[in-house]
Amino acid sequence: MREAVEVAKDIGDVVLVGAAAVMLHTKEGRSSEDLDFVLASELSDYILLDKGYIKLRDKRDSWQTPRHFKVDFFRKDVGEISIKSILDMSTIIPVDTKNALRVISLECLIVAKSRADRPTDREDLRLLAKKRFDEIDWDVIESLSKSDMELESMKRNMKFYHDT
Amino acid sequence: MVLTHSLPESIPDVIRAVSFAQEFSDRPVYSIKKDAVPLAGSLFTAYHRLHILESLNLAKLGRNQFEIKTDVVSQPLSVLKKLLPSLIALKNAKRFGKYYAESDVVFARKNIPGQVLTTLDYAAWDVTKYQTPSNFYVYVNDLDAASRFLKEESGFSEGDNGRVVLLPLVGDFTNRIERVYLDCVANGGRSSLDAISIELQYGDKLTTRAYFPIEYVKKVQEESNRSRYEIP
Repeated sequence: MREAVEVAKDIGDVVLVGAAAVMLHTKEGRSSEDLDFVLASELSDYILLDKGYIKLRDKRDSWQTPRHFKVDFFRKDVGEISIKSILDMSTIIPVDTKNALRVISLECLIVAKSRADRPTDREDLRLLAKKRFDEIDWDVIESLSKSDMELESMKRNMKFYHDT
Repeated sequence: MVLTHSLPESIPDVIRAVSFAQEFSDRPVYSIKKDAVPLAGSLFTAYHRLHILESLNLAKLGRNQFEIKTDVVSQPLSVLKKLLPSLIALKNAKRFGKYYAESDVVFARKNIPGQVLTTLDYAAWDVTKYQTPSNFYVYVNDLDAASRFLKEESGFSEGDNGRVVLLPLVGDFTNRIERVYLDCVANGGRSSLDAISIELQYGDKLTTRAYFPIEYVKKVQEESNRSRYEIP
Protein backbone atom coordinates (compact mmCIF):
# COMPACT_ATOMS: atom_id res chain seq x y z
CA MET A 1 0.00 0.00 0.00
CA ARG A 2 3.01 2.23 0.56
CA GLU A 3 3.71 2.09 -3.17
CA ALA A 4 0.13 3.12 -3.96
CA VAL A 5 0.68 6.21 -1.82
CA GLU A 6 3.94 6.93 -3.68
CA VAL A 7 2.20 6.63 -7.07
CA ALA A 8 -0.49 9.03 -5.88
CA LYS A 9 2.24 11.46 -4.80
CA ASP A 10 3.99 11.13 -8.17
CA ILE A 11 0.94 11.60 -10.32
CA GLY A 12 -1.57 13.44 -8.19
CA ASP A 13 -5.06 12.79 -9.36
CA VAL A 14 -5.50 9.02 -9.33
CA VAL A 15 -8.12 6.61 -8.00
CA LEU A 16 -7.03 3.21 -6.73
CA VAL A 17 -9.02 0.27 -8.13
CA GLY A 18 -8.57 -3.54 -8.16
CA ALA A 19 -7.49 -5.92 -5.39
CA ALA A 20 -5.65 -3.22 -3.44
CA ALA A 21 -8.91 -1.26 -3.30
CA VAL A 22 -10.65 -4.34 -1.88
CA MET A 23 -7.98 -4.46 0.82
CA LEU A 24 -8.59 -0.82 1.75
CA HIS A 25 -12.37 -1.28 1.84
CA THR A 26 -12.22 -4.41 3.99
CA LYS A 27 -8.91 -4.01 5.89
CA GLU A 28 -8.28 -7.60 4.82
CA GLY A 29 -7.61 -9.57 1.70
CA ARG A 30 -4.62 -10.28 -0.46
CA SER A 31 -2.97 -8.51 -3.32
CA SER A 32 0.04 -8.91 -5.55
CA GLU A 33 2.37 -5.96 -6.01
CA ASP A 34 0.54 -5.05 -9.20
CA LEU A 35 -1.45 -1.83 -8.69
CA ASP A 36 -4.39 -0.58 -10.74
CA PHE A 37 -5.27 3.11 -10.98
CA VAL A 38 -7.77 5.24 -12.81
CA LEU A 39 -6.24 8.47 -14.06
CA ALA A 40 -8.42 11.38 -13.03
CA SER A 41 -6.89 13.78 -15.54
CA GLU A 42 -5.20 13.60 -18.92
CA LEU A 43 -1.65 12.43 -18.50
CA SER A 44 0.64 11.91 -21.44
CA ASP A 45 3.13 9.09 -21.66
CA TYR A 46 5.81 11.79 -21.85
CA ILE A 47 4.95 13.06 -18.35
CA LEU A 48 5.03 9.53 -16.95
CA LEU A 49 8.40 8.89 -18.61
CA ASP A 50 9.63 12.17 -17.20
CA LYS A 51 8.68 11.02 -13.72
CA GLY A 52 10.82 7.92 -14.13
CA TYR A 53 8.07 5.50 -15.15
CA ILE A 54 8.91 2.88 -17.78
CA LYS A 55 6.29 1.63 -20.22
CA LEU A 56 6.15 -2.16 -20.06
CA ARG A 57 3.94 -2.99 -23.00
CA ASP A 58 2.41 -1.25 -25.96
CA LYS A 59 -1.11 -2.66 -25.88
CA ARG A 60 -2.17 -1.95 -22.32
CA ASP A 61 -1.29 0.98 -20.14
CA SER A 62 1.18 -1.02 -18.03
CA TRP A 63 4.11 0.76 -16.46
CA GLN A 64 6.95 0.12 -14.08
CA THR A 65 7.20 2.71 -11.33
CA PRO A 66 10.54 4.29 -10.37
CA ARG A 67 10.52 1.92 -7.39
CA HIS A 68 10.13 -1.11 -9.69
CA PHE A 69 6.47 -1.94 -9.11
CA LYS A 70 4.07 -2.72 -11.95
CA VAL A 71 1.14 -0.38 -12.30
CA ASP A 72 -1.78 -0.43 -14.78
CA PHE A 73 -3.55 2.82 -15.64
CA PHE A 74 -7.16 2.94 -16.80
CA ARG A 75 -8.19 5.91 -18.90
CA LYS A 76 -11.55 4.93 -20.42
CA ASP A 77 -13.52 2.64 -18.12
CA VAL A 78 -13.22 -0.05 -15.48
CA GLY A 79 -15.62 -2.96 -15.90
CA GLU A 80 -17.67 -0.84 -18.33
CA ILE A 81 -18.14 1.85 -15.70
CA SER A 82 -17.09 5.19 -17.11
CA ILE A 83 -14.06 6.90 -15.64
CA LYS A 84 -16.28 9.89 -14.87
CA SER A 85 -18.60 7.77 -12.70
CA ILE A 86 -15.65 6.19 -10.92
CA LEU A 87 -14.14 9.61 -10.20
CA ASP A 88 -17.44 11.16 -9.12
CA MET A 89 -18.21 8.34 -6.70
CA SER A 90 -14.68 7.74 -5.43
CA THR A 91 -14.01 7.92 -1.72
CA ILE A 92 -11.03 8.80 0.45
CA ILE A 93 -9.73 6.01 2.69
CA PRO A 94 -6.88 6.39 5.19
CA VAL A 95 -3.93 4.08 4.57
CA ASP A 96 -2.14 4.88 7.82
CA THR A 97 -1.98 7.74 10.29
CA LYS A 98 -0.32 10.06 7.76
CA ASN A 99 -1.63 9.07 4.36
CA ALA A 100 -4.95 8.55 2.60
CA LEU A 101 -5.84 7.44 -0.91
CA ARG A 102 -8.66 8.17 -3.30
CA VAL A 103 -10.29 4.78 -3.86
CA ILE A 104 -13.04 3.41 -6.12
CA SER A 105 -16.38 3.36 -4.28
CA LEU A 106 -17.71 0.17 -2.74
CA GLU A 107 -20.57 0.07 -5.25
CA CYS A 108 -18.39 0.63 -8.34
CA LEU A 109 -16.00 -2.01 -7.05
CA ILE A 110 -18.83 -4.54 -6.65
CA VAL A 111 -20.11 -3.87 -10.17
CA ALA A 112 -16.63 -4.01 -11.74
CA LYS A 113 -15.72 -7.21 -9.90
CA SER A 114 -19.09 -8.81 -10.73
CA ARG A 115 -18.53 -8.10 -14.43
CA ALA A 116 -14.98 -9.45 -14.38
CA ASP A 117 -16.31 -12.59 -12.62
CA ARG A 118 -13.09 -14.62 -12.34
CA PRO A 119 -12.58 -16.89 -9.31
CA THR A 120 -10.30 -14.23 -7.78
CA ASP A 121 -13.03 -11.61 -8.27
CA ARG A 122 -15.58 -13.89 -6.60
CA GLU A 123 -13.25 -14.25 -3.64
CA ASP A 124 -12.97 -10.46 -3.45
CA LEU A 125 -16.76 -10.09 -3.69
CA ARG A 126 -17.24 -12.63 -0.90
CA LEU A 127 -14.90 -10.59 1.30
CA LEU A 128 -16.71 -7.34 0.45
CA ALA A 129 -20.05 -9.01 1.24
CA LYS A 130 -18.79 -10.37 4.56
CA LYS A 131 -17.34 -7.05 5.67
CA ARG A 132 -19.47 -4.35 4.05
CA PHE A 133 -22.84 -5.85 3.06
CA ASP A 134 -24.93 -3.56 5.26
CA GLU A 135 -23.28 -0.46 3.81
CA ILE A 136 -23.94 -1.23 0.14
CA ASP A 137 -26.11 1.42 -1.52
CA TRP A 138 -28.24 -0.66 -3.89
CA ASP A 139 -29.69 2.45 -5.53
CA VAL A 140 -26.20 3.33 -6.71
CA ILE A 141 -25.65 -0.19 -7.98
CA GLU A 142 -28.98 0.01 -9.79
CA SER A 143 -27.84 3.22 -11.48
CA LEU A 144 -24.70 1.44 -12.70
CA SER A 145 -26.47 -1.73 -13.83
CA LYS A 146 -27.10 -2.45 -17.49
CA SER A 147 -30.35 -4.33 -16.82
CA ASP A 148 -32.72 -5.50 -14.10
CA MET A 149 -31.35 -8.99 -14.61
CA GLU A 150 -27.81 -7.85 -13.89
CA LEU A 151 -28.94 -5.97 -10.79
CA GLU A 152 -30.88 -8.97 -9.46
CA SER A 153 -27.94 -11.24 -10.14
CA MET A 154 -25.57 -8.96 -8.21
CA LYS A 155 -28.02 -8.68 -5.30
CA ARG A 156 -28.54 -12.45 -5.18
CA ASN A 157 -24.83 -13.23 -5.35
CA MET A 158 -23.80 -10.70 -2.71
CA LYS A 159 -26.53 -11.95 -0.37
CA PHE A 160 -25.33 -15.52 -0.90
CA TYR A 161 -21.70 -14.54 -0.19
CA HIS A 162 -22.84 -12.70 2.93
CA ASP A 163 -24.90 -15.61 4.23
CA THR A 164 -22.62 -18.57 3.52
CA MET B 1 -5.30 -39.32 9.03
CA VAL B 2 -8.44 -40.51 10.74
CA LEU B 3 -10.44 -38.56 8.21
CA THR B 4 -9.14 -40.45 5.19
CA HIS B 5 -9.92 -44.00 6.32
CA SER B 6 -13.17 -44.21 4.34
CA LEU B 7 -11.86 -42.34 1.33
CA PRO B 8 -11.08 -45.30 -1.00
CA GLU B 9 -14.65 -46.58 -0.70
CA SER B 10 -16.12 -43.15 -1.41
CA ILE B 11 -13.98 -42.41 -4.48
CA PRO B 12 -16.64 -43.50 -7.05
CA ASP B 13 -19.17 -41.21 -5.36
CA VAL B 14 -16.64 -38.38 -5.36
CA ILE B 15 -15.92 -38.90 -9.06
CA ARG B 16 -19.64 -38.82 -9.85
CA ALA B 17 -20.08 -35.65 -7.79
CA VAL B 18 -17.12 -33.95 -9.47
CA SER B 19 -18.35 -34.95 -12.93
CA PHE B 20 -21.71 -33.47 -11.97
CA ALA B 21 -20.01 -30.24 -10.84
CA GLN B 22 -18.06 -30.02 -14.09
CA GLU B 23 -21.33 -29.98 -16.05
CA PHE B 24 -22.31 -26.51 -14.86
CA SER B 25 -21.53 -23.48 -16.95
CA ASP B 26 -19.24 -21.09 -15.10
CA ARG B 27 -21.42 -18.85 -12.91
CA PRO B 28 -20.97 -17.43 -9.41
CA VAL B 29 -24.13 -18.88 -7.83
CA TYR B 30 -26.59 -21.56 -8.97
CA SER B 31 -30.16 -22.47 -8.07
CA ILE B 32 -30.63 -25.97 -6.66
CA LYS B 33 -34.02 -26.45 -8.32
CA LYS B 34 -33.33 -24.74 -11.64
CA ASP B 35 -29.72 -25.78 -12.19
CA ALA B 36 -28.84 -28.84 -10.08
CA VAL B 37 -32.03 -30.93 -10.26
CA PRO B 38 -32.25 -31.04 -14.08
CA LEU B 39 -28.64 -32.21 -14.25
CA ALA B 40 -28.86 -34.69 -11.37
CA GLY B 41 -32.26 -36.13 -12.32
CA SER B 42 -33.86 -35.67 -8.91
CA LEU B 43 -33.76 -33.40 -5.89
CA PHE B 44 -32.42 -36.28 -3.77
CA THR B 45 -29.50 -36.96 -6.13
CA ALA B 46 -28.79 -33.26 -6.50
CA TYR B 47 -28.47 -32.84 -2.72
CA HIS B 48 -26.49 -36.07 -2.39
CA ARG B 49 -23.91 -34.85 -4.91
CA LEU B 50 -23.83 -31.33 -3.53
CA HIS B 51 -23.28 -32.66 -0.01
CA ILE B 52 -20.34 -34.73 -1.24
CA LEU B 53 -18.90 -31.63 -2.91
CA GLU B 54 -19.52 -29.62 0.24
CA SER B 55 -17.76 -32.25 2.36
CA LEU B 56 -14.69 -31.69 0.19
CA ASN B 57 -14.88 -27.92 0.32
CA LEU B 58 -15.75 -27.88 -3.40
CA ALA B 59 -19.18 -26.34 -2.94
CA LYS B 60 -21.01 -24.03 -0.55
CA LEU B 61 -24.70 -24.60 0.04
CA GLY B 62 -27.13 -21.88 0.99
CA ARG B 63 -30.88 -21.61 0.99
CA ASN B 64 -31.97 -23.00 -2.41
CA GLN B 65 -28.65 -21.89 -3.86
CA PHE B 66 -25.11 -23.11 -4.10
CA GLU B 67 -21.67 -22.14 -5.28
CA ILE B 68 -19.11 -24.42 -6.88
CA LYS B 69 -15.37 -23.89 -6.79
CA THR B 70 -15.18 -24.05 -10.54
CA ASP B 71 -11.45 -23.43 -10.70
CA VAL B 72 -10.84 -26.51 -8.51
CA VAL B 73 -13.43 -28.93 -9.92
CA SER B 74 -12.16 -28.17 -13.43
CA GLN B 75 -8.82 -29.82 -12.60
CA PRO B 76 -8.19 -33.14 -14.35
CA LEU B 77 -9.18 -36.22 -12.35
CA SER B 78 -5.54 -37.23 -11.86
CA VAL B 79 -4.89 -33.88 -10.15
CA LEU B 80 -8.15 -33.94 -8.19
CA LYS B 81 -7.16 -37.27 -6.63
CA LYS B 82 -3.92 -35.66 -5.42
CA LEU B 83 -5.92 -32.76 -4.03
CA LEU B 84 -8.19 -34.89 -1.82
CA PRO B 85 -6.03 -34.73 1.35
CA SER B 86 -5.76 -30.95 1.00
CA LEU B 87 -9.51 -30.62 0.37
CA ILE B 88 -10.35 -32.73 3.43
CA ALA B 89 -7.90 -30.83 5.63
CA LEU B 90 -9.32 -27.47 4.50
CA LYS B 91 -12.87 -28.63 5.11
CA ASN B 92 -11.95 -29.68 8.66
CA ALA B 93 -9.97 -26.54 9.42
CA LYS B 94 -10.62 -24.58 12.61
CA ARG B 95 -10.37 -20.80 12.51
CA PHE B 96 -9.41 -18.61 15.48
CA GLY B 97 -9.07 -14.93 16.26
CA LYS B 98 -8.31 -12.69 19.22
CA TYR B 99 -7.60 -9.16 17.96
CA TYR B 100 -8.45 -10.11 14.36
CA ALA B 101 -5.28 -8.46 13.17
CA GLU B 102 -1.70 -9.25 12.17
CA SER B 103 -0.78 -9.58 15.86
CA ASP B 104 -2.84 -12.81 16.03
CA VAL B 105 -0.65 -14.29 13.31
CA VAL B 106 2.58 -13.17 14.96
CA PHE B 107 1.49 -14.82 18.22
CA ALA B 108 0.31 -18.01 16.50
CA ARG B 109 3.48 -18.48 14.47
CA LYS B 110 5.59 -18.26 17.61
CA ASN B 111 3.48 -20.15 20.09
CA ILE B 112 1.10 -22.78 18.69
CA PRO B 113 2.36 -26.19 19.83
CA GLY B 114 2.94 -29.10 17.45
CA GLN B 115 3.25 -27.14 14.21
CA VAL B 116 4.11 -29.41 11.29
CA LEU B 117 3.81 -27.21 8.23
CA THR B 118 2.73 -23.66 7.47
CA THR B 119 0.76 -23.60 4.23
CA LEU B 120 -1.21 -21.35 1.85
CA ASP B 121 -0.86 -17.55 2.33
CA TYR B 122 2.21 -17.33 4.55
CA ALA B 123 3.98 -20.37 3.10
CA ALA B 124 3.46 -19.06 -0.42
CA TRP B 125 4.63 -15.60 0.60
CA ASP B 126 7.73 -17.05 2.27
CA VAL B 127 8.82 -18.82 -0.91
CA THR B 128 7.51 -16.57 -3.72
CA LYS B 129 6.99 -13.06 -2.29
CA TYR B 130 4.22 -12.77 -4.88
CA GLN B 131 1.02 -12.03 -2.94
CA THR B 132 0.72 -10.43 0.47
CA PRO B 133 -0.52 -12.97 3.05
CA SER B 134 -3.67 -12.62 5.11
CA ASN B 135 -4.52 -15.85 6.95
CA PHE B 136 -2.06 -18.05 8.81
CA TYR B 137 -2.79 -21.68 7.91
CA VAL B 138 -0.83 -24.30 9.81
CA TYR B 139 -0.94 -28.10 10.01
CA VAL B 140 -0.65 -29.28 13.59
CA ASN B 141 0.08 -32.67 15.14
CA ASP B 142 -2.87 -32.51 17.49
CA LEU B 143 -5.77 -30.33 16.39
CA ASP B 144 -7.56 -30.55 19.76
CA ALA B 145 -4.46 -29.67 21.76
CA ALA B 146 -3.62 -26.71 19.53
CA SER B 147 -7.26 -25.53 19.68
CA ARG B 148 -7.25 -25.78 23.48
CA PHE B 149 -4.02 -23.83 23.63
CA LEU B 150 -5.50 -20.98 21.60
CA LYS B 151 -8.87 -20.91 23.37
CA GLU B 152 -8.08 -21.75 26.96
CA GLU B 153 -4.55 -20.48 27.38
CA SER B 154 -4.34 -17.61 24.89
CA GLY B 155 -7.75 -15.92 24.82
CA PHE B 156 -8.59 -16.73 21.18
CA SER B 157 -12.15 -17.49 20.04
CA GLU B 158 -13.18 -19.98 17.39
CA GLY B 159 -15.32 -18.61 14.57
CA ASP B 160 -15.54 -17.68 10.91
CA ASN B 161 -13.48 -14.50 10.91
CA GLY B 162 -10.19 -15.30 12.61
CA ARG B 163 -6.92 -15.15 10.72
CA VAL B 164 -5.33 -18.19 12.39
CA VAL B 165 -6.40 -21.47 10.80
CA LEU B 166 -5.48 -24.87 12.21
CA LEU B 167 -5.49 -27.82 9.83
CA PRO B 168 -5.57 -31.52 10.72
CA LEU B 169 -2.77 -33.73 9.39
CA VAL B 170 -4.27 -35.46 6.36
CA GLY B 171 -2.15 -37.07 3.67
CA ASP B 172 1.51 -36.86 2.82
CA PHE B 173 3.93 -34.13 3.90
CA THR B 174 7.19 -35.56 2.56
CA ASN B 175 7.54 -33.08 -0.28
CA ARG B 176 6.70 -29.87 1.57
CA ILE B 177 6.73 -27.50 -1.39
CA GLU B 178 4.45 -29.86 -3.32
CA ARG B 179 2.07 -30.01 -0.37
CA VAL B 180 1.88 -26.22 -0.21
CA TYR B 181 1.35 -26.16 -3.99
CA LEU B 182 -1.49 -28.72 -3.79
CA ASP B 183 -3.08 -26.85 -0.89
CA CYS B 184 -3.03 -23.66 -2.97
CA VAL B 185 -4.65 -25.44 -5.93
CA ALA B 186 -7.26 -26.99 -3.61
CA ASN B 187 -8.08 -23.65 -2.00
CA GLY B 188 -8.67 -21.99 -5.39
CA GLY B 189 -9.36 -18.28 -5.87
CA ARG B 190 -6.34 -16.11 -5.08
CA SER B 191 -4.44 -19.17 -3.85
CA SER B 192 -4.38 -20.36 -7.49
CA LEU B 193 -2.11 -17.41 -8.23
CA ASP B 194 0.21 -18.58 -5.43
CA ALA B 195 0.21 -22.07 -6.94
CA ILE B 196 1.22 -20.67 -10.33
CA SER B 197 3.97 -18.61 -8.74
CA ILE B 198 5.25 -21.70 -6.90
CA GLU B 199 5.17 -23.74 -10.11
CA LEU B 200 7.06 -21.04 -12.00
CA GLN B 201 9.78 -20.88 -9.36
CA TYR B 202 9.92 -24.43 -8.02
CA GLY B 203 8.59 -26.48 -10.92
CA ASP B 204 11.53 -28.88 -10.70
CA LYS B 205 10.42 -29.90 -7.19
CA LEU B 206 6.83 -30.71 -8.18
CA THR B 207 5.59 -34.10 -9.34
CA THR B 208 2.02 -32.90 -9.98
CA ARG B 209 1.07 -30.14 -12.39
CA ALA B 210 -2.35 -28.55 -12.10
CA TYR B 211 -4.31 -26.83 -14.84
CA PHE B 212 -4.59 -23.02 -14.72
CA PRO B 213 -6.25 -20.54 -17.07
CA ILE B 214 -3.65 -18.99 -19.37
CA GLU B 215 -4.87 -15.54 -18.30
CA TYR B 216 -3.74 -16.26 -14.72
CA VAL B 217 -0.41 -17.72 -15.77
CA LYS B 218 0.35 -14.64 -17.86
CA LYS B 219 -0.66 -12.35 -15.00
CA VAL B 220 1.68 -14.05 -12.54
CA GLN B 221 4.51 -14.20 -15.08
CA GLU B 222 4.19 -10.51 -15.86
CA GLU B 223 4.01 -9.45 -12.25
CA SER B 224 6.86 -11.71 -11.22
CA ASN B 225 9.11 -10.12 -13.84
CA ARG B 226 9.36 -7.07 -11.63
CA SER B 227 12.45 -8.46 -9.96
CA ARG B 228 14.24 -8.40 -13.33
CA TYR B 229 14.28 -4.63 -13.23
CA GLU B 230 15.31 -4.30 -9.63
CA ILE B 231 18.53 -2.51 -8.91
CA PRO B 232 20.83 -4.83 -6.94
